Amino acid sequence: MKNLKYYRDRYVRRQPSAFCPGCGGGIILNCFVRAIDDLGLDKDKILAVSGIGCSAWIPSPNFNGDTLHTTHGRAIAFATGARTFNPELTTVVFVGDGDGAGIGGNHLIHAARRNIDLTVILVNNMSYAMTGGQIAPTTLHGETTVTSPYGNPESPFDITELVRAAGASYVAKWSTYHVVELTRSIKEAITHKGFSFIEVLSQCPTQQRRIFNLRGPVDSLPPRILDMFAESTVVKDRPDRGGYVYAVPKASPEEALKQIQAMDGVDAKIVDHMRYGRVVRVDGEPLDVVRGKLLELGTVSEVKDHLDGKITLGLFEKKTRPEFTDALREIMRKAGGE
Amino acid sequence: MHRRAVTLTVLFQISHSKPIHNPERCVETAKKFKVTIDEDKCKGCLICVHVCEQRGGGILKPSDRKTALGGVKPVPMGECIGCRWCERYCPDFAVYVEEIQDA
Amino acid sequence: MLEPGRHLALGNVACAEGALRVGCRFFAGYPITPASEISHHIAAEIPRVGGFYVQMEDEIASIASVIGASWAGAKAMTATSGPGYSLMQENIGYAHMTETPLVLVNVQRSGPSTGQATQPGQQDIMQARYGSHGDYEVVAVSPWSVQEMFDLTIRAFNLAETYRTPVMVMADGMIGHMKEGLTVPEKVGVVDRKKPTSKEDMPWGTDDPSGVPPMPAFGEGHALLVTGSTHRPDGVRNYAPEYHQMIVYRIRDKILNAEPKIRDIHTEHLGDAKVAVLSFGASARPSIDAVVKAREQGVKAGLFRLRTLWPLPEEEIRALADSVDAILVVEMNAGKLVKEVERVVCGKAKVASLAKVGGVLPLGREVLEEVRRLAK
Repeated sequence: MKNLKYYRDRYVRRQPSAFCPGCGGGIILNCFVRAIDDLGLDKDKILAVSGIGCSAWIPSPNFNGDTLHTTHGRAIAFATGARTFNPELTTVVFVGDGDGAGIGGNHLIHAARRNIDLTVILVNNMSYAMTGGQIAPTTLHGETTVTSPYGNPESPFDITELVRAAGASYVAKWSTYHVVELTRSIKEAITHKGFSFIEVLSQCPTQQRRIFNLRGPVDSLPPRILDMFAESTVVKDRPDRGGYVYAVPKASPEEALKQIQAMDGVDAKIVDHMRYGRVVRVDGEPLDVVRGKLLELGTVSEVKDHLDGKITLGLFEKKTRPEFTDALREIMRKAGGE
Repeated sequence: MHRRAVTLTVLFQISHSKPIHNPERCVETAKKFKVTIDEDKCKGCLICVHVCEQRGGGILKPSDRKTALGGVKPVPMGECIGCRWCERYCPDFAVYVEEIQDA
Repeated sequence: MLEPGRHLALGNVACAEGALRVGCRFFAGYPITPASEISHHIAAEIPRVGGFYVQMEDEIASIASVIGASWAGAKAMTATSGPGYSLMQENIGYAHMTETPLVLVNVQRSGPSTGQATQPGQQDIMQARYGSHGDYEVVAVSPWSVQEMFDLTIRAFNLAETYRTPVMVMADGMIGHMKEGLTVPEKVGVVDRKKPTSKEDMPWGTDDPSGVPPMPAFGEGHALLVTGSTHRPDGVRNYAPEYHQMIVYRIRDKILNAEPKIRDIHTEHLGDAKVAVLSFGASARPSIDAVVKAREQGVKAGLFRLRTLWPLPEEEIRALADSVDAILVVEMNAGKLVKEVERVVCGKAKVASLAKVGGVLPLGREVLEEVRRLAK
């Protein structure tokens, strides 16, 4: 069985990486090299393109293959040139959320429209992380960042919806918590002929501490954010077990937890929720009774259903459409130039 | 700068006489596994400790030692069950699970 | 494509033809007056020769995809005018930093901004040299006829491949949109980029006196680290001052040291001239007209025309200043090249300026008047 050392020796260079401890970028690289290894691809024919930002460092210089580290927002355009000219290059583009959906938004939607055979992995840590954590087109409304000290006045894109509407023929969304699904999705995306897009919610212990108001020791952040992703997402088309609610505390989550644990027939623990902050997850049946009892508690301000405010992950689109480089080759045939 | 990787390996005797299946991962634990932290690469993010606790054998623990990069060094304090969740999550390719051949 | 022989051709079409003939197989562009005809001709012809025409969503994407294609091994080109040229500057800097061969045709209009979209200008000549942030040197050629749109575009590609650098074809709206006689030869000289002989060859460093490293392509097993960050010769990012100096001086020197080979000057009647008219591109047409008329009137005038604008042939201009009394710089902008000439001449001859804006060529008689005045 291949262990991580095998993947490291074969696919990774320039260690230790420049990533902060616990960076989601490292996990994505981990999933990426597993995917290309599982597919048995010729490493010499893989081209990894990136823009500017932390995500751009996932392939460059960490990936031991051809890499093209370009200008901010433009990775997809560079990749279009390389991939069009050389159809043998399996081209994977790593963009950030600001890099890919902000400054690079135009190139993103046009590549989707063309349905050019590229795989774009958009690493979404919900801010411009490398430059200090400014608001990005993906930052949730109301979040505190260095350029939204009074709360973000804007609301984020639904990027998968945007890219789907633009014409992408494979669209998926995962998080760095969902490593197995992500690895499989990367394999599907690369194999898929056409514009494949995967948005990955990614942890940034350095900036998300402020954005999600995650108080506590810095050391605890990487696993904590992963758990927050697990708690705050729901995978579409999976059977939903439910059976729990979230009690939003009035003041201290610890005080609320103490009161809730005194209730009969419930399991309670404090969790981080991307939209509601530090809340108490309460498992118990029947739910409406539990909900009613929670609302009577002095320490609870409101009760959210288990699916409220959750981010949907999964596969959003998989279809066949005319692919751009195929169309160009057809033109060449028509013109008699093949 | 050149450093030799300092690895910490711990071997444990199997205490079971027949295979026990881990219901989470269907891994036959009659095989022996050893988990190694490469402290040249480990940054002490402790994700491996967390996933080992949540889903694995719960044997990786933070120690009071530091890695070469200055983070908290995780240390195996028990028998690795070979689930490899630590390997799937490590952002720095710094933890390896190996199957040990019976002595 | 045009058959070898004599044709009446549009300037922009001649440019496209030259590109195709010298091996351009990737073109990405965005419509813009007065450059669009280059795109049209390429869109029709490049598939016939096994190449790709891509219409990108904007000029930034155009130059980006040209760079990507160049690293995939293509001779690649884009064409634009002022507003698009301004948009492209960031990635032009990227091409310099990564030493990516490419050809960029700027069919100059009169600016700034939207300006006179259909009128010619030569206002972008300093932007060609200093348009992107950071330090680098550029090669720029300046055609004055439909024939030169063909010939100098071919030269531009060959220079790009020789020096592993972006090359600018500084055309203008008049030359681009006029029709003149074009002779298409049977064959053209083609230069290809130097390829590495082993995987150990550094793509961004060399001991070769030319200062031009060999250029691998994607897919050849070199595990390339192409980056716009300051880097070592192997491509690994490194911000140490020594590495920055190594790159900047080498990419500067590889052009400036090769100036004698890159220079391309057309002179007429310069032998015993006392007044030299120094010009380039479309402005040189009324200039030669004025020189000829001046000679008819007994004035010792001569033409010194730059077919290569950058690197500036400073040695030759200094030599010119030694042999004439006055140099009249004729250009279609508010006075840009004249400042360079003044700097180079450094008082050794009188330098005068005929700088015309308005989207119109200087008139032959305007130039003649100045020449006569200087000759007194």
